[in-house]
Parts: sequence; structure tokens; C-alpha cells
Amino acid sequence: MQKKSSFDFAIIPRDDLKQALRLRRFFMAFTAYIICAFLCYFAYFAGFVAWEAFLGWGIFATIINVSIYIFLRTGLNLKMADPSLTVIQMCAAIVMVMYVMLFANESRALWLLIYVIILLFGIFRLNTREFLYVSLFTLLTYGGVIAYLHFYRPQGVNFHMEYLQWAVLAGILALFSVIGGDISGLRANLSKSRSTIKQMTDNMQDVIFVMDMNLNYTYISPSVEILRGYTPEEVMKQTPLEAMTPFSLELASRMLSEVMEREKAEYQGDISRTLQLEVKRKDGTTVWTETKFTFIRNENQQPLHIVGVMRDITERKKAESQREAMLEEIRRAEEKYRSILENIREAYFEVDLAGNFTFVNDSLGRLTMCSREELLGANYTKFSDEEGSKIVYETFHKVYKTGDPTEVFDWPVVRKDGFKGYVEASIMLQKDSAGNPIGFKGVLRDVTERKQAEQELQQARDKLIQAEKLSALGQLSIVVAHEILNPLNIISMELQILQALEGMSSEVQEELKICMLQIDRIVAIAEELKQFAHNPGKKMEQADINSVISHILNIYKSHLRTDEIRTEVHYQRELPKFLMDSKKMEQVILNLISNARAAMAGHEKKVLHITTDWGENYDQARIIVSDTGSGIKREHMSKIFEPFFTTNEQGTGTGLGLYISHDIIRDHGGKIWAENNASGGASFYISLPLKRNGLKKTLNNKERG
Amino acid sequence: MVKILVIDDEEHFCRALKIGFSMKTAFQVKTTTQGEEGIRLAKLMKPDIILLDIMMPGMAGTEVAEILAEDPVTSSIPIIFVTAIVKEDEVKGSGGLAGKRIFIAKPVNIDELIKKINAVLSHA
Repeated sequence: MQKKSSFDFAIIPRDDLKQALRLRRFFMAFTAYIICAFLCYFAYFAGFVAWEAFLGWGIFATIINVSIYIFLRTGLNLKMADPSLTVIQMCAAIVMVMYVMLFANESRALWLLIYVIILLFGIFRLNTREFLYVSLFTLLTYGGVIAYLHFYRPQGVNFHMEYLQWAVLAGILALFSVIGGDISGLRANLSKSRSTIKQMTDNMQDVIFVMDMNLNYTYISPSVEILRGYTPEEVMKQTPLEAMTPFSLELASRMLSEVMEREKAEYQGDISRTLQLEVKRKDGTTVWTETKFTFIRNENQQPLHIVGVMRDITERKKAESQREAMLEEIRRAEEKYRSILENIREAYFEVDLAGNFTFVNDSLGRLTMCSREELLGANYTKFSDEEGSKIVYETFHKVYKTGDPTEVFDWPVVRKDGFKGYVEASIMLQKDSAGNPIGFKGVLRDVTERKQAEQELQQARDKLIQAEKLSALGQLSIVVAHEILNPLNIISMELQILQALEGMSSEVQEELKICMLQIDRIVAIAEELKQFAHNPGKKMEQADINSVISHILNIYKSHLRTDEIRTEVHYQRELPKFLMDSKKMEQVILNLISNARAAMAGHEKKVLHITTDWGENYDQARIIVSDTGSGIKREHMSKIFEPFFTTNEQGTGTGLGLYISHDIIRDHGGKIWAENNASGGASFYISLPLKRNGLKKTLNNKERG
Repeated sequence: MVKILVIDDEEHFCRALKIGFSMKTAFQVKTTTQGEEGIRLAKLMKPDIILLDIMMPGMAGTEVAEILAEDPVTSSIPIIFVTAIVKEDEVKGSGGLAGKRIFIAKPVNIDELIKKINAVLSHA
């Protein structure tokens, strides 16, 4: 050893681990040679072996060891089939022992033990075949020794003993080869799995480390250098604060103390924690890692180690932060869009194709008096009565079929508290990216207040008209009474006097009777008119409004033809029959037609349009009578339904037609109003409820009773 | 002799009624077209019955009836309202009318009127 240290290069190379291992083994063997040298010297000293043996052995051993060391150190061994030179070394040792045995005399059996030791080394180093070769070589050399002694120095040798020893050696070697085979198999497995693990740890980007419970590293995989730029050795010397940022350290120590706390309590299964830690690199930068700490326990459940796996998640972090930024942007956009939706007074909703709400804003909640939670998933029919739902369904259906958004339509919403609101809605189809319809979206506007105001206005107007009419009623009676009945009364009196006169011929009496009968007729009409003013006296029956109109047109057609008025009639044939006083209704239609006729007098274009259709909702019928006449002057618009209002020439109209019509329509629970057409002329609109509760009828009956 | 006072703004009716009564009855008939004149005549001649029109220019029939009802001299005289307004309730609002209020509608059938007058008179 001493002489070797004088080399100016390292005795054991540091750059090649395998060669270093081989050299270490070589020195191990060399030590064995030294021991053997002492043994030899002792044997010679004790007189067991001849001096030649000791001298020869010493020279031989030195040559062999020096040459092997040179081989190993220069790397010549790498060119050989077995770079560890095990077989060569073993054979050399065997030959040397054989040489000593030649001079060993009685102690030869002892030297056989050294054979066994050498071969014991072979068991661990050689595969079965190599071992068999070496064993054979051993037996041959020992055999050679016996043969040499037999022929040249047979004196003092117990050959029986030598044969027995040979046989025992052969037996032992056979047994060794069996054990050696088993061991080499195990060794192969071990080295295979070791190389797999090594490959894994060497090539893995993840850093694996093991810490004891005092948080000192006991192992750290080389990959730490890739991650952090420090070698495992450097890492092991670092303090935690040198390893990671303060924030991450805080996080890690909090985790650790939490786990330790739990440790103090009873065992609750394996604990592992994953943390995102920002660790420091040698170049001063930091790297984001995801580190999983697993607490390893012994069989008594005492925590032994912490095994950690640390992974570079910088890319992931970057992607995450990009994603985060994008999400933030989306969130902001959504927030903006949402706040618009939330803050608009209009209710916004989205429903799927089944009509279940998938999105609603707060305004819809206010409108229906339901919470958002109640609305989401609920069906739109929840907020309409049966008829309303039908209307909305039909609208949805139409939008689905045509793909076109709706015009604003009335959505009869029934609030949660049962209040029926007026809501204007417009809906459109919602499509997915492939253009397939997935639902509807729409906007609802609560117009209840407006409608109520309108209704109040209408009621006020109705009341006013009613009041005006009541005062007019008296007037009407006066007109009828004074202007018709008084003259008639006088005529009647005169006729009665004539009838009472004596000497009148029977012919004259006959004529007078006719006069009286005619007076009765006028009286009857006047009475009827008066009666009407006081009591509508309706005869309600189910009737078809289209038939009513066609009946009147039929009666009136000769007049229209005379005036060269063209009629265009559009009936909505689907309108159901409904309860009406058809005689009164005829009167209304006749009034409107005769007004139209009067309005068109003297105009070049004379077209009378009559249309029947559904009203705003399907619970109403609408009749529109339009003319191409002079229209209604603005200042007259509010007066046309007043009694005795007429724009016709004096004497041609009574001014009662529209007044009576208004009355009749109102008694039917409907509305009548007039508008000027954009293209000239005026249109009269009548809207009549198709279904009416019996309330009004009963009231009327009571009034009459 | 039954005395009848007719108050009606229609002069022709008054005349015809007078002729009619003279032809069919022995009633002594006095007529006037003015409400005020009617009240004066009623107090003066104390008729057995008054035929009173309701709708008259100037003083209305209901007003005349009220004044007559207030005067003890005329308050007991039965009045037949001869009017184009047939409904009783239409005059109800015109104040408290004393005495008997009988209505007869225009145009008047003279025979029915005579019957009614006789009925009222026999009742009284």
C-alpha cells in the first residue's frame, strides 16, 4: 500500500465509478495476498514449508498484483471479455496456492482451505459456468500437485489422504456451484432492478428525496441538479431558507407542523400532502414545483421518513397563469354582461327546448316574484295560466319553426302571488356553435303599470262617457218625447176628434183607423228607442261573428253597389262562436258600414275593408271596419262616440249610431275605438272577449229585475 | 159639473182635448199653455182635476205640481200627469209631490183619459 501512495495520480480513480469499484475489489484481494504472505512466512518459520515456497510465492504474487493493477488503472481490462478480471485473478491465486502446496508437506490440507476461500469469493462474482471452469481448474491443479508429488517426492505423503482431500474438494466445489448458481440468479435480478431504478432516478425529471423526521436529507436524487442547479451534496448542506422562498417555507412548515400535530394523535392512515413550492435555483432564479410529501412509517406506525417527490411545474404554472388571465378576462366580460343583464329593468331569460329556465336575471325574479333558485330549472308554464301557456307555447313553436325572432307580444304572466301582470315579450332562438337550436332566449318587460294606467284612463274615459251619456239619456228622452210624441199626440187627438165626429162615412172611418195604426207604429218605435236608452234588454246567444257580418253585408250590398263601394272581407274562420246579442251586434256592424259609406261619399277610391281576426291574445275576437274616406279630424276623435255627435249634413244622421254601438260593445265586455289609417280613411276596431264569466250577465239581469 | 184644468205647452193639444171632451163629456174644461197661468187658474177656479204636462218650457210640470201641493187651497186637487215620459220613477227625483199622482202617456187616447178621470173623481 505504501509504495502505491507515491503515485502522483489517485490510487482509485474518481471519474469512473465502475473502475473504482474494480480497483477497490482488487485492493481487497491484495490484502488477502498480504495475509497469505504472512501465513506463508509463518509456515516457513514453523518449518511447514520450504523456503523456496515462500520466496516463489512472494515474487509471483508481486508480479501478478502489479500487472493487474496496471491493467485496471490503465483501462486495458476494459478491452477484455471480463473487465473485472475476476477469473484471471482467481486462477492466478489458485496457481499460487498450488505452488505453495507443492512445498507444504503435512500442512497441505490447510492450504486447501485457502482454495475454498478463493472460490467462496467466486460464488459471488462468477456465473455458474465460469465457476465450473474455475472449479475444474482448481481440481486439475490440485490433481497436478498430487501427481507431481506422486512421481517426484512420494516420500512422506499419505496419498490416500490426498485423494480423499481431492474428492472432498470436488464435492465442496459441486455444492458451491449449485449455491453460486442460485446467488448469481439473485444477483442478476438485483442488478436488473437496481439498474431499472437507477435509470429511473437518473433520467427522471422529478426529484426524489428522503428526509428523516428531523428534516435532514438522507437521500436526494441527482435530478435535483437539473431542477435547481445544485448537486445532491450541495442540497444536503442547505438550510430550508436557502432552498425555497419564505412564502413556500411558511407553507411547508405549516403543513409539517399540522401533520406532526396529527401524528401526536392516534394513527389515521397514511398521510401525504402535496404542496406547490417555489424553490430557489443556484442561478438565483426560482422554480415552481409541486412536491408531494409522504410519511413513511415502521411496522409500529411510527413515522420514520418523509419521502418527497418534487416536480417542476413551471410550464404548468405558466399555462395556469395564462389560463387564469384568460379566465379573468372571461370573468370580467361575463361580469360586465351579467351586470348589464342584472341591472336592466327588462327581464332576461334563457330556456332549453323543453321550456325550462337555464338562465334568468334578477328582473325576471322581480317580475314573477320568484327567487332565481325557484326559477332555474322550472318550466315557463309555471308563470302563466293555461291559456297564457298555450299562447306562449305557440309563440315558441313558431320561433322554432321559422327561426325568426318574434315581434313584441303579450305574455300573460301570473305572478307567484297570483297577480296577473301585463308583460311584453320578445323571444328568439338560441343555437349552439353548430347552428342547432338548443333553446330560446328572450326579454320580458313588465308593462303592468302602463297597462293599469291605460286601463284607468280607459275607465275614466268610460266613466266620463257614461256620465255624459246619462245626461244625454234624459236629453234623448226629451228629444223622443217632445219632438216625436208631442206632435204625434196632437195628430192622434185630431184623428180621435175626427173619428168622434158624427156623419163620417165608413170609408173615412177606415182611413182614419189606418192613420191611427201608423201613429201606433211610430209610437212603438219611439218607445223602443226610449226603452233602449234605459235598458239594453239583451238577448244573449252563442253566435258566429262572421255570420253576423255577412248577414249585414248581404242586406246592405245593394246600397254599397249603388255607391260603387268595393268591399274586401277577410274572415278568421277559426274564431269560435261566442255569447252575443246578435241583433245588437248587427246594429253595430250596420252603423259602422253606414258610417264608412257616408265617409267615402264623394271620394274617388271607395273600398270598404272588413276583417275579423284573433285579438291581441287568443281570448279575444277583433273586427276591423276600414274605409278609404276622409278620416276623422283630430278634434273629433274624442267626440265620435258621444250622443248626437255627427259630422254628416244636418238631417242625414242622428249622431246616435256610434254612441249606441259603443254602448252595445261595452255591454258585451268589449272595446271599440277608431284610428285614422296611414293611407287615408279611418278604421274602427272592435275587440270582444270570446269567453266571459257570467258575472256581467247576472248583474244586468239584476238591474233589469 | 166637473171642472177640469189642462196645463200643457202644446196649444193644439189643449184645443183638441177641449173639443174631444166637449164631444164626449159634459166636463167644463179650461186650458192654459203656461205653468204660472195654470197655478193662478187652479187657485181661482178650484178644478176637480188637473191634467198637467211635465215637460214644458219655463216652469216644468213637476214644479207646478209642487207649488199646487204647497197651497192648501189647491193641495187636495188630484193631478193627472199627461206626459211623453211614461216611467213613474223618472219624475220621482223631482221633489215631493203631494196628492194623487196618476200618469197617462202621450199620445193620449181620449176615451181612456175620460175613464181615468171618472175613476179618480169617483174615488175622491
